[in-house]
Amino acid sequence: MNTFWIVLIAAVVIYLAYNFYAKKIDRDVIKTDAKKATPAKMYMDGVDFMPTSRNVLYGYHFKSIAAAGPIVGVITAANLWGWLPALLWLMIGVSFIGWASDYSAIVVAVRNDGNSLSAISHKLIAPRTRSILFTFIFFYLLLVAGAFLGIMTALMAARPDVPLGIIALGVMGFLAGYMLYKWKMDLILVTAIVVIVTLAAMIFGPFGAINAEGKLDFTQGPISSFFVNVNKSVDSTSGGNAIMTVTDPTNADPRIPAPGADGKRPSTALYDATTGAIKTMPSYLLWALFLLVFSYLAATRPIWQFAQPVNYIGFWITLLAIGLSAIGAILAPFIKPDVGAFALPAVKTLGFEYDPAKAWQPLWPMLFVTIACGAISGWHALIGSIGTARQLEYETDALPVGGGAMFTENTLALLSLVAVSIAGTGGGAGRFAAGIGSLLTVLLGDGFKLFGTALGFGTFMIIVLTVTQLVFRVMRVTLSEWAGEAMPALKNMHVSTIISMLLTVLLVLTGTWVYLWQLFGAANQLMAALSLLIVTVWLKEQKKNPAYALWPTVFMYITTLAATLVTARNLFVTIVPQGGAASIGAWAMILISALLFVSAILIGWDGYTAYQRYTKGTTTKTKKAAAAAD
Amino acid sequence: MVKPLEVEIIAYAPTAFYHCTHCEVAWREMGASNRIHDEQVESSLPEDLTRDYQAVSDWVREIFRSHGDRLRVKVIDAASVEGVYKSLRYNVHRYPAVIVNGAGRFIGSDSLPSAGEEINHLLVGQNVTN
Repeated sequence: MNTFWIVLIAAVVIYLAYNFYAKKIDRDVIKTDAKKATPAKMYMDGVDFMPTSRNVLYGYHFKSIAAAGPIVGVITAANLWGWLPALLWLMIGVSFIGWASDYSAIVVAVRNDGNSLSAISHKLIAPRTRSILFTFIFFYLLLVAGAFLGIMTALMAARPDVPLGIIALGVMGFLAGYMLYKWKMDLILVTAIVVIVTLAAMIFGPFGAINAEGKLDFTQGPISSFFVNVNKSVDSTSGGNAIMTVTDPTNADPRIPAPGADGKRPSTALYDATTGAIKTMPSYLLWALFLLVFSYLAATRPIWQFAQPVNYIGFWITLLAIGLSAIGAILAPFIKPDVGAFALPAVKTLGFEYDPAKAWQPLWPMLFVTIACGAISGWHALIGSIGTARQLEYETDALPVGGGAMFTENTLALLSLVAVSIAGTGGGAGRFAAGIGSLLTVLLGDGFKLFGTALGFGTFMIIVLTVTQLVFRVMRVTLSEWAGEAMPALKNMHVSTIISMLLTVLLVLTGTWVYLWQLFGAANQLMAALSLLIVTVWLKEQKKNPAYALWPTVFMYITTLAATLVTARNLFVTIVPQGGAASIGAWAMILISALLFVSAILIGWDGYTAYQRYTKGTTTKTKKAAAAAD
Repeated sequence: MVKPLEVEIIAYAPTAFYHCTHCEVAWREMGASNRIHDEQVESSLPEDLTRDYQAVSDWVREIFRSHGDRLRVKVIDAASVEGVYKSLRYNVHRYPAVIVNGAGRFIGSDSLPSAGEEINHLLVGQNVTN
């Protein structure tokens, strides 16, 4: 297998799914009509409601929170099960579930005056499920913040070539905010300065870090050796001893080295290969603190001062790295076939073997919550359904805008899969970075491999960090809304931000970010199932065939329930027995699993009741109509 | 059918960060998303730029009221890839900037009335031609 075949398979599947399934549903079930007035035309006010070309809507100017989902999920899944299961789920998921979810969310809002699904969903959601879900949002955010903070901290602690680029991102972001919005400096000039400086800081992190034997040695380069010394001096505060040790049964922690030629992992300063213990050193806490300060600024400062310019710089760098890598992936089989060939096995394991004392990662249901975005999820941020529904010029634009955007997200996930699959060694993030580095050599030459890999790490960090900083912002708003009345102190944004961060750190210290990610994935898929459920009931109420939304809803529900149980079981078996902080964090995650499970049951029951109500209503009306006809 | 007049507005626009579509749907139904997005939009621009954007919004509403379907208006956030591209293409260095039919450039909030006059002039010309 090589990158060419992936590109070809994806192109064919997406073409067939879009033209022969999505268009059929659009034409025969939803029956969109270009002549029907959309809310954008009916309530045009030039601000919220404004008819907008579908080409503009497709790339709507709401800022992206970046697409961490399709990258993190895919590299995790490829490492756990191999590239083939990930590829199959990406293709099948987007073809039968993903586009349907996003397209339907838009079309239902359009058919409800661009307002909301309230007429249907209030019957479904309020009051019980609504309250449960509001609580659920906070834990959902806690999980994603924990998963992302965990992997970023481990990466910064393990890779001394990474921190400079991230520090530069923060400093340039802060400066860019003032230069653009306060001092009104020239946009082009400011963009050039901040992007080039940040890019250089990322690329040159490993500059000079090659020893006499031609191997990567971070004690050699001026930049990486500086951070090695920083880590050492911080670690000396504990006499070079670990603060605590954790284990990661999934082996995805960046501090765990890649297996050698014999297939065994070597012991390092941070990892004991015999016991599997990972040392949490004071320097780990230093980088966790750094990332929390970064996120604190984004969560509490006005958007224009930090979060927005950081995202702006990050978007340019991501665009450059991903865009050039995508070109490299397409050209690799023709120019550098060795780069384009897959090193990761097609199937590593299906994971069904059961050992009562070990982590269990069966392909079903865990693959389907590990890869959420890219298979079924929305195009992150580019299209908010309420904004889109209020700006859709023609009803018939719903499919190219909603469905088309989902297929685009899928291609980003596929690129991640390609990057991970061509890199032979390293953990999840390491494989992704090495893959990006290899793909960039197709265009920039072999000499760029070291710097391209550094850019791959930087891009990965940007994508994850830009999401995390905003998640903390949303968490503090949600926490103050949710519990502010009972505890007025939480209405203070600094208090609510700090509490959110402390809870996140507790989860991070468990050392198993993959479990956090899988729980987040389950929560995400539960949201997807809820969205599809609303659509299913709406279709039933409209007397349309709900099958295209109903079966994905059922699948996502059952999968979510099973996945939360498996994750809770894994935490109980592999982490709880360790005791200490890890055990507390694991119990917290088990409680969240229980919350997810109960939420899913209640939502499923309410949805089933509503569905039955409309089914009976339809039957009664049909009988009455038949009687009247007689 | 007369082709609508193209009006592009490049301005620093308020920013809201959105999550995936299905989450937005679910959150909105719980009444959570408005507060989250409003809080972001409120602090997304300094006061003077917020006033500038408000002036642009009022102006867009006004020209829509006057000309409706005969206009095709596109608002582009300056701090975006498209914003940078359009700024380079039209040689714009100050915002808001109104570009009428890809040619007429009107820079700054003060020039919005002039842009409106240009649009009136062009649409009257269209009427005469037709």
